[in-house]
Amino acid sequence: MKILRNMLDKVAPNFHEGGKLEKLYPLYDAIDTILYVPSETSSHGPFIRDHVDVKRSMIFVVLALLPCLLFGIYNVGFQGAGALASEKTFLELFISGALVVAPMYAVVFTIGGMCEGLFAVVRKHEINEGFLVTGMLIPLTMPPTIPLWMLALATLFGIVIGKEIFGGTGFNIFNPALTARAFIFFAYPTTMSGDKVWAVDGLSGATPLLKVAAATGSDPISSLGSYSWSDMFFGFIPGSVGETSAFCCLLGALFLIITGIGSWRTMCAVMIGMLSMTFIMNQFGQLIGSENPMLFIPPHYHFVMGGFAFGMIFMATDPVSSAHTKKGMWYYGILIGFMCVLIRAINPAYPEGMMLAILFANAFAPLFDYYQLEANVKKRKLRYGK
Amino acid sequence: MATVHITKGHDLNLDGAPEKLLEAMPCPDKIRIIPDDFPGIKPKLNIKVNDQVKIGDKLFFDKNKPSVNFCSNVSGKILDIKFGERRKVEYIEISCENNDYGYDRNTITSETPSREEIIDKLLSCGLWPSIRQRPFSTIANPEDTPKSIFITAMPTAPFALDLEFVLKEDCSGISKGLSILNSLTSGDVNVVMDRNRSYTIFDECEDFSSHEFSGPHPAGNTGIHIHHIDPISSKNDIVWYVSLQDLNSIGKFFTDGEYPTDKYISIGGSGISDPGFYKIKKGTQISSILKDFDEDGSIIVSGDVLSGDKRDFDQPINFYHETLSTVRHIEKRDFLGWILPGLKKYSISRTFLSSMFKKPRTSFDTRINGSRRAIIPFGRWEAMLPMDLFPDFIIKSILAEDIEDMEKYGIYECDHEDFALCAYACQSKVEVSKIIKDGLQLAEREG
Repeated sequence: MKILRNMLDKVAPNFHEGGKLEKLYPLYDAIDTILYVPSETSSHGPFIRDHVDVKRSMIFVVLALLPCLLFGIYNVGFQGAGALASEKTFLELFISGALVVAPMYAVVFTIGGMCEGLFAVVRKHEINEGFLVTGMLIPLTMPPTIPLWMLALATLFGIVIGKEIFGGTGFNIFNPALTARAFIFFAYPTTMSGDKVWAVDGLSGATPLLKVAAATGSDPISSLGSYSWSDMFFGFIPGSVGETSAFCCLLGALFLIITGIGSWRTMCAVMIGMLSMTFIMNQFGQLIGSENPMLFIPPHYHFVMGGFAFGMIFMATDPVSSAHTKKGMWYYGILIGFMCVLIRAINPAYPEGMMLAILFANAFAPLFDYYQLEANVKKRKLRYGK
Repeated sequence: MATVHITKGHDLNLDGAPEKLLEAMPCPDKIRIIPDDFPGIKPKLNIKVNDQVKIGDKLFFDKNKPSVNFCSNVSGKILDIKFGERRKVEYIEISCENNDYGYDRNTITSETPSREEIIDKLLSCGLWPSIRQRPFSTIANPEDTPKSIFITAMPTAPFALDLEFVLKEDCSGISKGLSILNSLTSGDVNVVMDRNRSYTIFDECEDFSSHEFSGPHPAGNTGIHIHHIDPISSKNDIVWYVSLQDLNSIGKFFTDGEYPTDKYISIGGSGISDPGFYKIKKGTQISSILKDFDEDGSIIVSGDVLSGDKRDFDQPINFYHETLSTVRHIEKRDFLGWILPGLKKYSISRTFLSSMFKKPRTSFDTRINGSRRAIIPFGRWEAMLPMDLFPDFIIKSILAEDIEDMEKYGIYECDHEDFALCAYACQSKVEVSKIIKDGLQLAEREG
């Protein structure tokens, strides 16, 4: 370890003020601080500081995503093999999945890293760890069949328009990974929302949501065909890389809540919003005698279908783009649950409502905070008068 | 009477906490007085080098409020007056020779002094500066009438004095002090005690309203008490506060004219051989308090490690502080700090394995343990601030210098010491308490 430190110290002067590579300081700083915690000491009170920092907080989100990623890789191989899956070993499926997912990550981190580095150098701010989370999330929200150039374009859009134009991590209004996803959805709708999302090895399978959306009648379960609830809960279904397994998402949720990184309030609120809206939709469907099966999906199916669990746990809880006040988080979460089910049930063109629901709520989050603040100001005024 | 249980905040389990022992330190050869200890004043000197002064003699006054005098607490010769840039007085050094008083002690005492008499005596003998006001934590303006006065009997900051323990044998002035303060305010004199303790020092006292608080630091901070009992609504909504020691001194001053020459302090931190409670002459240089302390590898903090100021070895403790702390100063860089399990790393967050276990006494150091980043609202500030305020919005309005918003979000209820734990816990290493300090200055100037 000494050697590494000495090497870094040796090149350091080049990057400091007056050095030859002064402009590239953010890049040096990123490598240096990833390896070693900075030595800065506090010059004024408090003279002691907690050990937690942004790097650790962000890395913990990445750790929470690992079950989803690992299972996602396996599932990509599993779905890609189609009917031949039963003849292949676990390892073979995992490797064939990795061959699809690894290039996706290579593209996202190369493009995203370059973009982040460029902005850091030009705007003279540090390279923020928030990028690690965004970079980790983007491929997980994409279908494995997405052309890599599209992925590159989406990453670029997500990082630049979703984050950097606002000033970088901490200032963005929308979740950058979802911005990337939304870009793909609106820019290339034909590639993204047909029912042939899956075309690995010449086989294709529709995602459960698309199957239900395409059917008619009031029994959504039967239109799912061979997908059982437990298939969908554990994730053996086609879909975007990381979102299929609600189980893995729940593992991540547990980790986020135990470590206090993710807001349990937001997660609970999204659940509550989804449950109540599902109830309303189910009743509404019966009332009008609708033939749209999306209206009749029971809540536990909503939970395991599409990106609901993934969005609830990893996207809605993004501390920057979510509401900042505690009560605001409840309203914000409930709105997401509501909108997600509403979009799924009412909008036949796009059965996956989670992405738009979260972006929509992102836009409303400052409003919820505003009302919390106003309520607080009012409450305190009353106390002063006492 | 209010009973409040505080749940937000944290008691840091620091190494080197003071033991329950009380010792009087010998009188030093000389003391120093630092005008900068009194925020917002413009000192104008009454003395010059080689003058002889007695206890209670005026040293300097505030140019902005000439009635506020600052007096000597020792009798001796002015050894040195150090001027800094633009002839700013950095310190006044006085030798300690005898215990002669500069005023007639008998003229001070009177059975029932009037409000004017009280204020006049406190001002002319230099006891007035011990009364401070919120908002802004400056010396109280003698022309104001505060809506209430606060005294805390339960400091909770790291290494804080155990007031009940140190004042047990020396509380003769508390009762008188309370009745004196009562005549200064139109409202109540509020004394806040720890709900989980019994107090003997207030046994003979009347004339005050007592409140009980419990919970982790900052439950003992005056700012938190004011917020829960009698909140401040605007710049002109004034509350005064006095430390319990100073209250005792004011009482004794009006009983037999005794001048508060000494004070109790607590000493703690790593490298301190006998952490404990001590009685010192006010203005004693730290070098004569910490005689065998090895300065290398540590910094000295006047006040607690969260909200105190860094001091040099030859400076005294701040006039208002009752704690002297030391913190190890290290610049070593930990390898891969963001991913290692961190069994020995103290953290309020639950991202280190150490958080699974009861927190052992930990030796802290001055490293900020991370890179500075933009504000990311993980909710760590809220968890450390037991006030019904939104810290991120206050901080953001201060950074934007938007005075209207600052006032709306409650800047006048804030004090930097109440936000010190927020700054401690912040993962983005935002200087929360410094920003609050700057914000208050801005609001005082332009609000």
